[in-house]
Amino acid sequence: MPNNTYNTNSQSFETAYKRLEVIANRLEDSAVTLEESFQLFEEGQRLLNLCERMLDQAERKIKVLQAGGEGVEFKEEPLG
Amino acid sequence: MNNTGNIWSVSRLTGEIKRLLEEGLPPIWLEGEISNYKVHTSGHHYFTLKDVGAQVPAVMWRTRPEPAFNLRDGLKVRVYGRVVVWEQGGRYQFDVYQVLPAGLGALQAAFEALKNKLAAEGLFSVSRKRPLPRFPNVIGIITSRTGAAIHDLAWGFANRFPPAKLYLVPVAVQGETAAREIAAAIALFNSLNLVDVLIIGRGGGALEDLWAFNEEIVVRAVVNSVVPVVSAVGHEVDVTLSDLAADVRAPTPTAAAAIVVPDRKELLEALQLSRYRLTRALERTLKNWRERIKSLSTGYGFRRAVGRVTEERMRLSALGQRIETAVKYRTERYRQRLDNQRERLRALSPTAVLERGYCLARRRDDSLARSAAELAPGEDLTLHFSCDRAKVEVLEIFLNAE
Repeated sequence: MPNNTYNTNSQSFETAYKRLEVIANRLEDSAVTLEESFQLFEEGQRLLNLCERMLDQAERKIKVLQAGGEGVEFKEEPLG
Repeated sequence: MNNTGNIWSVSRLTGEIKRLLEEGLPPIWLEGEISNYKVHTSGHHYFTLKDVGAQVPAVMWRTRPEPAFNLRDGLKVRVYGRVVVWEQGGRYQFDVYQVLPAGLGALQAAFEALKNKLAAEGLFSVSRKRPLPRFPNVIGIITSRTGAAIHDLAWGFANRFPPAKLYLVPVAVQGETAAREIAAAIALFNSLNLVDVLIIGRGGGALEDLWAFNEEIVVRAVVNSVVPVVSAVGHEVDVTLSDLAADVRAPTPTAAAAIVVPDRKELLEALQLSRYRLTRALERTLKNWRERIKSLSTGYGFRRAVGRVTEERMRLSALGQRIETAVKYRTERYRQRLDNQRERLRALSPTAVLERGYCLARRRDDSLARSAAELAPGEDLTLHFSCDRAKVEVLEIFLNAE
């Protein structure tokens, strides 16, 4: 069976980091309402923690293309 | 058979080779292309001279006359010298007395020709270069499974940016099949729609070792890649055509990792800064709102509001005053007018006339006597005064005409 599903992180670092920048900018905007401020702050904290966790997890694995067989298969191997 | 006289020592063999080569080959002019050029710290020049079919190691001692031009890989030269055998190393090499240029080497010429052709097509144009993603999530690597390059790349990514997922398509990076394998791997990654950026590369090597990265099929695969390509071919030659075609060129695999992903430490610092920004922004927002509420009670706005109410009230009361005054004034005028009217009415009333001393004369039928001519002597009249009456008799008539 060809293995064609290559799931990456459901939330990429890039998405989280960019959202974080948007939140910081919005929060620094004086026009923001008080309630929105709290919501933005909470979301920002959550994203910060997520990003830091992502940077701390070292998988140290590489997916190497397996020759032969049907379709394209990558097999996880420890870093060389 | 086992005649000890027939058994040579290594030294004897090597000595014999040395004698044969060094005496048999006089100093000659030799033409070839330089590769693996190195200047040792001692000042001696080491390189390999080669042509299509063979190569010979060469050395030019520091004591020889300095060449009039810079030696470099790919350069075709004519050298004058002779073969010497280094017995301890079991090697022979060409001892160069003098170097002269001999035009471009064959490989170099081929390189230049292809480079000019592809450049004319615009394949190396700067406008073709695409920006790399800021934080590539998934990275495709095309290199040898066993070389130093994959180790340097994997190590670099794991340390700099752990979230990156690495996919490797192992290929031969030199030899006959290398170019085809590299081109196929680029196409494969593009068809999988899997990675955010591609790295093709290998560690350093001589020009002919890197040749796959100069082949047209690889250059075109790089150009046709939808995924941005970073080339990371070792740095011993100036540049390969793949380097020119790639979106970004890294001088080494380690440098490629540094170019493709941000540094974890810098990111952590940036996150720390974001944390500070968020906290400070929230604090400032809270402070703003506190001040806004405070300014509502003491600030100009609030005072202005209060002032306006007072003002309105004052204006209202002034208006009331005016209305009252106006009403009073009018009433007064009406009253006066009424009094005047009453006076005038009073003046017109017969009673008022009688009060001033006049009287009315009424006949028996109660009609008013308006002239003497309508009366007759002896007729009774009643004189009406203002408050009483008197009965009188007409004695004589005096007509006006007489």
